[in-house]
Amino acid sequence: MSAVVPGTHSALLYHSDEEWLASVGPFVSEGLTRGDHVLLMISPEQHDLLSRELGADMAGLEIGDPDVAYRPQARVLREVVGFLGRVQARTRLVAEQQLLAARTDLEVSDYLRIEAASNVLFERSTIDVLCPYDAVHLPGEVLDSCRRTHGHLLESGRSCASPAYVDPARFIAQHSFIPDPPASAVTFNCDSPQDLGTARGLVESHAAAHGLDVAATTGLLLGVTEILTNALEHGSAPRRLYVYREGPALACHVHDSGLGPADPLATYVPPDGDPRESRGIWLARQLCDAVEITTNLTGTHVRLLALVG
Amino acid sequence: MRPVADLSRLSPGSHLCAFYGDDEELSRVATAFVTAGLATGARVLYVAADHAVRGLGAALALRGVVDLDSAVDAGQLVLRDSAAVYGTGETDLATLAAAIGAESGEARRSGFTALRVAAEMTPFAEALGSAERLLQWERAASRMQQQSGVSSVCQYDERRLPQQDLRRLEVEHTGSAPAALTSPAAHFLATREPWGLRVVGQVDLENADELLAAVRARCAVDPRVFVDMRELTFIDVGATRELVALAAGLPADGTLFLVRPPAVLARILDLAFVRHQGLELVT
Repeated sequence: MSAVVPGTHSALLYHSDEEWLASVGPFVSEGLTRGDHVLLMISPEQHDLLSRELGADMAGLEIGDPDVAYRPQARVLREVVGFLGRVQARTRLVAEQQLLAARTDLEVSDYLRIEAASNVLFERSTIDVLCPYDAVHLPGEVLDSCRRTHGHLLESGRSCASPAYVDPARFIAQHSFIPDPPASAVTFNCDSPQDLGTARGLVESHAAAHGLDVAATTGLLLGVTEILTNALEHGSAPRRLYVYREGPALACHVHDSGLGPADPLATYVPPDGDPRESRGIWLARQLCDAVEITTNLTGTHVRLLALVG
Repeated sequence: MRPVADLSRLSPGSHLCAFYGDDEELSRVATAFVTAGLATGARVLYVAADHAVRGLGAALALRGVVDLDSAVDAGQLVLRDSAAVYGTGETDLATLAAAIGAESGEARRSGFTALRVAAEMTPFAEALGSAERLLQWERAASRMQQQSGVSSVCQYDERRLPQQDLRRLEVEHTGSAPAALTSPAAHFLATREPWGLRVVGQVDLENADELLAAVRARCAVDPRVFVDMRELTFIDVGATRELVALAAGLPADGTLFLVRPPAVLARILDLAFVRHQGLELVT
């Protein structure tokens, strides 16, 4: 029996359609030649580009809906896990978030943390993932972070190890700073389960004042309830909810004096079975535009962000 | 005074007392106790005279969550005239205690979480004729309630009993009953047709156990249970997970129907759970 080769996670920083095709084309056709299952989450234009190159071979590919997969961004790992559950064969995935260049800084930071955490998932799966990044339109810091969060870089179809790659846990720790709540933040002490309803009332009134729609408000209410429930069940007093405006988003910032999740990386990956500890934060990631978590000397801070307008 | 009990979190077997100075006070205490009991899916036995029952009806109508007639129709609220219950005072106290214990079992077999009793005791006290016999009864009731899990409030007219008797009665109870009810986060009200439960309010860590207990009590009688969720304004992931688990554990002929659930529930199911055949959404 041959050993299972762990999955890989590669980035392609491209400057033109030709550069894109020169790497994505061979990545896909090599997968097809080897009998891998291939899934694409790319734009319709890129799909056409690839079709002209591959012709009839395109029929063997599975096309995902990138609009669904990245709303919110953290959903993408749920889609990948669902895909792996359906497909027994080794898998290749080309995943490019088209919206990234239009995202706010808060979301882009979150996406890069998701990219880092996804290594944990891919390493224990039989999936090879290629993430193309538009090097013309994305800022330099984002491209630097791509080199640090992907184990391999593709250039002209050739793969090499990324020298800048860092351990995912370290990358996430370095990119998880949550500032103190502003003095103007609304503060609420959540000391018992009886306070949860009041906390939701507070969030709901701020969501309405900021014009969040029903779906976004529902997501935020569920997310805040999950995080406060975690704080009540696993954290320690004082437990506080702060609500305030953070740039383009409404922030619900939960602080408790506990140690936080044992494995922050696990909070990005869909739970298999019932690992209760990390489920609440994972759920919040599926419900809000961005989720930040950091543990420091003051305890654990989790911040849920919902974009306004 | 004994500590004032929190009616929303009443431990089983609580034996409360309340002394009233006028009919309005009688009605307020009874209404708070009855409403809290109905909200947890318990069967409530209200032993009182007609005018007190009318007062309860009016107070329930004012709260606007449950009305007296539908609670009675569902078998959740049972009204009894005090004279009929207490008889002439020659009643054997052990027989009476056994009868209440039996009512408790009957409440559980009928799909309720527990039995709670609100009783206007003054006629009983007068029928018994002596303070000693009354105290003997209250002592026996405490023991019976601890064993059977029945909670109660015993209401006494402080104008008609001597002060010293009131003080002695007080120590035979575990607490005193409040004259007002802080609105519970949710009401779990039994329904007969269709068989199930009507949920009004919000469910989260605070009261998920109560919801589950109420649903389980209905399932124990008939495993096809309809949970009317039209007035459920919020439910969290934990409570939803427990409902899903409960549905998965129902017998083969059982189904948990979630009727007109709020958007938040559909959102949770889409995210986190495989639908089990024991669970059905009715929209």
